[in-house]
Amino acid sequence: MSRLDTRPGRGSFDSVSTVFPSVPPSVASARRFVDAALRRWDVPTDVADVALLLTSELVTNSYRHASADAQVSVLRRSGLIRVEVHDSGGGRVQRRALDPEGPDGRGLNIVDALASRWGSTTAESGTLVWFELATNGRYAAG
Amino acid sequence: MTTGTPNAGEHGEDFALSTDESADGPVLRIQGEVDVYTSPALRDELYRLIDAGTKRVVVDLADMDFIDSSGLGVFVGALKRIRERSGDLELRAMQPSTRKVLEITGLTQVFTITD
Repeated sequence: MSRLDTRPGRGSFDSVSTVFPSVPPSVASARRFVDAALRRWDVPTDVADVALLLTSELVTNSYRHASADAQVSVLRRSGLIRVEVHDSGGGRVQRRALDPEGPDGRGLNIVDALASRWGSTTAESGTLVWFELATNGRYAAG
Repeated sequence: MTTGTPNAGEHGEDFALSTDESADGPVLRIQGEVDVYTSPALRDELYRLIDAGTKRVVVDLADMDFIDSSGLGVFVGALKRIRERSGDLELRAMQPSTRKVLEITGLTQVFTITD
């Protein structure tokens, strides 16, 4: 399943979106999907590397907490890229205090450390978690 | 002696584990990407080496292209397991991207890291 949102006359996609089943191999598939979009948009490699890591964290969280498909969307605006992971599960998104020697709890701390901005919304339709990264070396709001 | 991972293929072409037995103990080399899908095989191999009684396991990260929190959790679990036996786990030759994620998560203070 794949949905492409193209804007006529712009010559490139401004957003791409696809759905991944709730299985472990989907995490790597989601990284490949995001990587392909960022390459198409000539996003700098260092920004793309961070985007792939944060995508991995969000899709892993979705797999672990929701037994539902995850929709991954990659969006581009002037000066930033945004990745959204949406699933129909109702899991709360809560970052825990980082315990370096703890068995888990690192994922959202990594997102928090590296994203320009990130956030989540939980509604009846499910859980949406997103992050944004500046692509021009500084964060452009909006 | 080198042992490959029997089921590496099912984790995709990008992931492989191999263990060399050196005079100083086993060196586990990780190739490819470590995430929620591939990290169970990594955990099994680390625990196998630790449970065999070795006091020092070296993990060669030169060819590990990606790791996320799933893989970091496996390293931390293995470190605890070997330290309970008064041993140590050494992370060797990590790429800059790996070092960055270890720094963010405070793990550069926890692990023995060598070039």
